[in-house]
This record gives sequence, C-alpha cells and structure tokens, in this order.
Amino acid sequence: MIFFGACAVLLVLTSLFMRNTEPFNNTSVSLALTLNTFNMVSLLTIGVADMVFCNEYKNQTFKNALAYGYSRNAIYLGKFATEVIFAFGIAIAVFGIYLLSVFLLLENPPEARPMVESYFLLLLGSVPVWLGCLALAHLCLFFVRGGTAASFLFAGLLVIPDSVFALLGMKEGFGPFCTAIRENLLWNQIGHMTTPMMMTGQMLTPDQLIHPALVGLGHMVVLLLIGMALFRRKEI
Amino acid sequence: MEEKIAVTRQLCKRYGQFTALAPTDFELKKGQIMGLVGRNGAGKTTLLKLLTGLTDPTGGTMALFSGETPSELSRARKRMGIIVEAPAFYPNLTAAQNLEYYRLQKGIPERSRIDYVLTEAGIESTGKKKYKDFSLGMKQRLGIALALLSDPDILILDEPLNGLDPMGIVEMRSLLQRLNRQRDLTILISSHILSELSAIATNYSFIEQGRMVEQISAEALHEKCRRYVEVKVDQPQKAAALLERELKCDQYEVLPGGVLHIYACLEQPEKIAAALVGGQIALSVIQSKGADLEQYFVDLVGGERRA
Amino acid sequence: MIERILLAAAMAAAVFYAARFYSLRRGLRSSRRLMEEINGRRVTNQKLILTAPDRELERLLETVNQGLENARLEQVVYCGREKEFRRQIANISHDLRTPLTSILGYLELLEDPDLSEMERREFLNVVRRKAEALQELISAFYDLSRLESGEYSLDPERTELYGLLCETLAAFYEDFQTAGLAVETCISQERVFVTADKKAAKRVFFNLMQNILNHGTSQVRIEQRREGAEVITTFSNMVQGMRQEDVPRVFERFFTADEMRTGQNTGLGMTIVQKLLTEMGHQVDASLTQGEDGDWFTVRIAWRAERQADKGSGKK
Repeated sequence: MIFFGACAVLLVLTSLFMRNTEPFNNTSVSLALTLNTFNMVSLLTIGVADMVFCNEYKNQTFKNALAYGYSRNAIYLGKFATEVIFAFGIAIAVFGIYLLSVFLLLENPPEARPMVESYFLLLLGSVPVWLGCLALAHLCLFFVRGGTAASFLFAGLLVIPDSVFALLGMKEGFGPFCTAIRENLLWNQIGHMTTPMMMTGQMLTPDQLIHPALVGLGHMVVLLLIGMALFRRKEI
Repeated sequence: MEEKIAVTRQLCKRYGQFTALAPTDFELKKGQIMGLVGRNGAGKTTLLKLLTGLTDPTGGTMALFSGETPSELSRARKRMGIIVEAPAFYPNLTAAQNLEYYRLQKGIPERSRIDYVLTEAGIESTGKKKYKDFSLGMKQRLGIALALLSDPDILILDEPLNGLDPMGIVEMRSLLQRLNRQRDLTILISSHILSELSAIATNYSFIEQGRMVEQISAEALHEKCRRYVEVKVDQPQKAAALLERELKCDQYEVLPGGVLHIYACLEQPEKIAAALVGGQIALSVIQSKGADLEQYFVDLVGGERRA
Repeated sequence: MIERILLAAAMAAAVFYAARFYSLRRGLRSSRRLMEEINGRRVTNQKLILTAPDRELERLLETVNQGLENARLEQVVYCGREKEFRRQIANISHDLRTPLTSILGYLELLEDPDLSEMERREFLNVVRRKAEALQELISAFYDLSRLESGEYSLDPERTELYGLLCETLAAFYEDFQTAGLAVETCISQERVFVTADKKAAKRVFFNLMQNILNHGTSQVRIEQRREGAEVITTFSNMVQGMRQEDVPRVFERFFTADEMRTGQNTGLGMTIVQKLLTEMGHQVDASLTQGEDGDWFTVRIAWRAERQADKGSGKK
C-alpha cells in the first residue's frame, strides 16, 4: 500500500518539476515519459496479488474457509476477483492522481491531443494484459510457498520465455515458429503498443488494441483454469 | 429419533503406498460427546480432515446430516464448527479483528456474536493484542471462539486441550459440557490422552495405525474397567468356594497364579480378607484395583499391534 | 469525446446496478431456502447467513435470527424441564423400589415355617416400619405436588407460635435424647402471633426437627424471638462434611446430603418446608457457618408477625 502511495506521490512531483521547464511543460511530454513504465506495472501485479493473498499458506488459514463448506473453485476465483478489484482500485488511484496532476499543472495545447488520446487507449489496452499477469501472479502465489519465492517464479515466468524463444529462434528452422510464440507472450504485448509510440511518434489506434486484449484475456482464462484444476488436488 | 450426524462407510485415505486411514465405518449420533482416541499419527487427524472436507477420500463414502452429494456435504459443513490441527489466524490482527474477518466471510449478520463467543471461550479481554503475541492457550481459545461463531450443531475439535493449563482444561471441559447440554451440540474431540476425555465423553472410538479398533459407549467402557479387589491365595478353588458360601459372592474371576478378581465387597475388602483367613487360606496380596482407562487403551492397542 | 465518456459511465453504472439487483435476488432466494430447511428440522442451532452484500438484507436476517434464537432458547428450557421431570420420576421409582424390594424379601423370609416366634415378630416389625416409611414418602410427594400446582389448601388463621414450637419440641425430646443430641433452646416466652395455617406451621417445625434428627451430629440450638415486625425462628445443628455449595441446594427436591440415597430420607422435607412457608407469605433461608469447633447448619424462618392486637379482643 505504502509503495503504491509513494508512486503516486513521485509522479505528482515529476509533474511539479516539469512545470517550469520549457519546452517540456506540456502534457504530451509528461505522458510520454511514463510509457516505458507500463511494462513495469505488469510486474507490480504480483505485489497487488500478494496483498490480497495474505500469506494464507504460511498461516494455514485456508482450512477455516474450506471446512466451512466453500468449494475450492469458489475460494480460488473469489480471491482472484478481490485481486482484480484491488488492482483496479490502485491503478485508478495512481494513474488518476498522475493524470490529474498532469492536466492541472501542465499546459495542454491542442497538438498534445493525439498523445493524450493514445495514452488513454494505451491504458485501455493494457488492462487485459495486466489481468493476464494478475492471473499468473495468482497462480504462483497459490502453488509456491512464501511470497518471495512466488515473486521470483512469477517474474521468471513472465520475462524469461521471451528471451528463451528469442534464442531458440536463432536456430535453423525454428525462426518463424518462435517469432509466432513471441508475438503472443504476455510480456511483449505492451511493448507492441508502446514501442511504435516511442520510436516513431506514431499514435495508437483502437484496432491495435485487439491483439493485446485477446492475448491478455486468453492468458487470464487459461491460467485461471489451470490454477483451479491444480488447487482441487492440493492437500491442505 | 436419534439423528445420525456423520456416517462413514469404508472411508479410507491413502497417500501413495501409505495408508493413513484403512476402510472405516464410523458413526456419530446427535447429542454425543465422542472421544476419538489414538496415539500420535494413528489417523485421528486424517479422519477429521476427511469429515471436514479438507482432504478428499481415496475410497468409501461419507454422509453428513444424511447428505451425501458434494453440495449437500457443503451445506452440511456450514453447520459444523471446527478446529483441525492447530488454530490458524492472521498474526497481525487482534482476536476481535480475526473474528470479524471470519464473521464477514461466513456471512453471519450479527456483529454482537463476536463478543459473545469471545466471552464463552474466555478471551474477552485481549483488547489490542495481536494474534502473534498470544500464548498457546489463548490461541486454542480463539480457535474455539471461531468454531462457535456460526452457532453450529456439531463441533469437531482436534486436540483442543493441547497447551491449556489445568485451569483452562477445566474451563474448556465445563464449557463443552454446557454447550452439549444446553445447545444440543454434538461434539467430536480427538486426543491422545484418554484421561482428558474421560470426564466428559459419552462415547469413545479407538484408532490405531489407521484402523478403527473399537467404538464403545462410556458406560460400557467403565463397565469393562470396573473396580475389583485383587487377592492372591495359595488355594484358589477353595477360596472361590468360600467366597460363594460365606460372602454370597459370585462375581469374581479366577486368574492364573492364584489370583482372584472379586467384583463385590469393593468398599470392605477386609471382609474378604477375614473370610479367607478364617477358612485357613493363606492370603498374600489383597488390593483394591481398577483398570484405569489408559491401561485399557494400552492393552487394546497392544493387542491390535500383535494381531 | 465527452459524450463517449458519459456513455461509458452510464453503461458502467447500468452494469453495476444490474449486478447488485441480481445478486440481491439470489441472496433472498438462498436465504429463503435456508429458512425452509431450518423450519423443517426439529432441533437445530443454525441461523441464516448473508449471501449478498446488502445492508438492508443483513438487518433483516439479523432480526429473523433473533427470532430463531428466541425459539431455540424456549426449546432448551422446555427440554431441560422434560429431562428434570424424567429424572424426578426415576428418583421416585428408585425410592419406592428399595423399600418394596426389602419388604418382599422379608415376606419371603416370613414364609419359612422354621422361624422362631422372636424372629417372626422382628421381621414383621421391620416390614411394618418400611411400609410406613413408604407411606410417608408417597404422602410427602403427594403434598408437594399439590403445593406446586396450587391445590394445597391453606387455611390461614391467627396462630400462636410459642405454643406450637414447644409442643413439637416436646414430641421430639425423647428422640433427640436417644440420638445423643444436646439440645439448647432460647425461646422467647412472649406470645407472638402470625398469620399461618396451623397444621402447616406445625408441619414446618416437625420437618425441620426431623431433619435435625437425621443429620445432626452433636449439638442443636433452637431459638425464637420477635424482631421488629418479624418473628425469627432458627434451627441450628452441627453437621459434618457439608459444603458451602450444598447450602443453596438444600431446598431442592430429592436433595439429600448423601448422594447414594441409602438413608431413610425422602429428600422432600426441606422442600415442603420452603413451599409451605412461601405459600403463607413468610421467608426461610439456610446457611452454613464454619467454625473451629465445627460447622453449624442453620435454617432461619422469618415470619411476618401480626400487628399485636389488644390482648383478649382481637381485631380479626
């Protein structure tokens, strides 16, 4: 909680600093600065999940809920739903404060318009991807003892496949196959959206959001199903 | 009409090659206080986990409140209050906060219920103390408080007297008895110490190495552990006849080594002594004895292991 | 742009409220089903639980649960009374069975033709004594049950206690002597009048002295005096082995000091004393004082005295 609060504060402070720095003091610049943090947010989902999960294994508190008659599916999905709500809440708070500070403190000239629109689209498109990451975090927390180990596993599962398939792709014949996989990895989705914006100044269009949305939601559903199946068989 | 709260048929649990619970037929009737007695690792906790749904059985069926399907079992479990293995709570919350969390989770509308169960369990004055700072006894009491939170019809308690001081044990026992009498609460307690249960149990189940060895009512058990006067004489037959004639006593047992167990004249063993000596029978030992419950259990279990 | 935001917000609100409505309906339905289940059971502690997050529903369930709990408590009281009733029946049959068995045993012995005249007379005496004790028990119980249901007719009149007490004391004097009890009295000679049924008051004194005879160990002390608007009569005797916890139970039915019920006590004497006195509007209590030389058990009656009318011509 404190961490996220600090983020919000820091973002506001950057806006403050930028106020007086010509020619940077407009919204589009400020927003653009945060583009490459979007991928970081994916990693932060484990933090949110951990907050909700509360060390259930360490404290053995699952049995209280299970013995009351709640099904394992209900518990698994219920905790996930709480994480989603939490994540939304935090995201709205942090981004909201940031955006508010940006719009209030900096100038908003018409040429910044496209950037602002893109930014919102980017947010919209990132949500499914983040949901997918959340599902992965949820899975890791449920099946690995200890928040720290779970975090490492999560980070590993998120980041490493990309590099692995990249390497594999260099081998003869695997190229196209690996590239296809890489196109659909969670970790790369946001990059698809932000890189063009950063490199070429190109603005986002709605149809560019479809692919990331599908990948994100698809990952979420599959990961949840896997998690539920595994949880059924777990001994408490 | 006695309702059968829990019935298992050939219920068993195996972990790979290891049989934690052999196919077991178990019955728990309404209003009983059933003591589940067994040594550590005998399978008590496994049975309790199966009953409460923490583990799925490898074989056999189970019915709770006459419901067998998963959804019926699930609804039945809402009528149970449980402690299985150690009580589990959130370390950084106080007792009241922990209970509030579970009150919300279980959907209990009355907020006043929390104060009520804290008082019943005897920990109403922990105030702001966090769970991680609780003593073992207080943790157990909070476990009981949680079990009582939903006003259950049956309590399933796994070694609830663990870690309580003697005063606490007395309080806990009287609490359980009162609940059993006044709220018709059926109670299933597991323990490896028979004497703890003997004051309140109405029925016993003995379990050893995953097998249910005996299920017996408290009266029958006390009957088997009856008190007797033990005498050691040189002429057992003559002694027996003497007992019958002089003391009109026919409740006795003749054991090898000239030992007789006499189930009468328990308050006045001197009468027995006088009669025997008067009949010129050499009497070398005379003692009042009673097989205590622990001995009974040890014999029972020992016999099982030999079998 | 603005319209799109508003549209999105409206849609979000619609979805939100639809979800709440749906969940509330499901909550109501599940609560109804649970209530049906609870109604269908004879005895259960189960209460309704909240399955949809709605404040008003929560309050409703709380009220319904309160109703369920009230019904449950009444059930508990009722069951308690049933159990108590059955226990008393068991006690009575036990009390009747023992002397009867003994009487039958002796009757069998009497059939022996080789019995000596002395033995025969002795046995017959025993049988008579036991039969009388049985009669006493039955009549005591009958009286008690009439008292409890209010059918015992009490005829309150102006009763003079001094004479009554002395009369009863005289009757018991020999028995006290035989039992080796040293009786000390401190009875005010003032003639005091109370409103009571004469026979009932006599019975009270009789039962209390009978109690002393049964339980007293060595010393007995009987006092009576006027204290303001009351007349206080106390019966104290030394006891052995009585505990403070027993004191309030002394007036309970079938409570006897020896749990084994091997003695001749009906266990009802004190109960009748209390019932009679309360019916007549007077008070009684018991206490145990522990001293170095022994424990004293005291029964203290506080009669409400009649206003002292002119001697001779009473207002009544």
